Amino acid sequence: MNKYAPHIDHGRIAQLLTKSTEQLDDQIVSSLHQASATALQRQRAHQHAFSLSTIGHRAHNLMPHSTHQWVAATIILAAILVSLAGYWQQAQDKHNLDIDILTDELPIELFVDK
Amino acid sequence: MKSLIITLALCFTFHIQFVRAAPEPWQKLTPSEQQALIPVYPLWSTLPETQQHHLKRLAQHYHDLDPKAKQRFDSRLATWAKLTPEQRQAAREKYHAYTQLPQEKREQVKQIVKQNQATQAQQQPVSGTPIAPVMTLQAPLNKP
Repeated sequence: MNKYAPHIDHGRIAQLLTKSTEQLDDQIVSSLHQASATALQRQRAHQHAFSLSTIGHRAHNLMPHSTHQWVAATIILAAILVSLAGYWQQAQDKHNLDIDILTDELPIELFVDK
Repeated sequence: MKSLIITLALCFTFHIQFVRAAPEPWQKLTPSEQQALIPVYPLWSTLPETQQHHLKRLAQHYHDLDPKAKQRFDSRLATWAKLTPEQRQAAREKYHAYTQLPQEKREQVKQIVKQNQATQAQQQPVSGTPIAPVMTLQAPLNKP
């Protein structure tokens, strides 16, 4: 099909089509207009649906697909949770120790290096 | 997969950012926090934000303390806030080591401290100046 492509003059075809439409009945022209408008409306609706599906597609890309990916994601998530728990626990221990130092019977100077 | 890792890493970073406290003027503290932190009021604006956040967390326990503990907390908080982070960490380590001692050893330490305080009070009965530290625990405490 490509080898015939250079012989096709798009401008000439357009001219012929324009001339042909001038010879068509008004009823046919109006039907063609209506068909064209309907087609354009459908195209717009399709584009809208495409943008929604793109978001869905990107969200889908974030999800692991294979078992290996699921395992890796679970390990990463577990590591993050463990480190967060460790961080909170360490902070909690520090607060508890500080409260104990600040309220103990023994004077604070006993534990502080000046 | 790469996107998932990036998303998780971002969540973690934002979480840490969220955990870090923003600097807070004294006026923005709740009345309950202000009451607990009144000993550090003169220092408040000079304290680093992490320390402000830490002190605010300490203040949450204040209202659960008994009157004697509250009195100690009030008298020690300013001294505690003026220490460097390294000094506070060293104090925590010493205190932790002290808590690991057997009960009778801890009682001995308390007795020695009380005796020293009494001796020093007898030596300076009318001066009105606060009693200086009578002794300092030397790490490691857990040696027999």
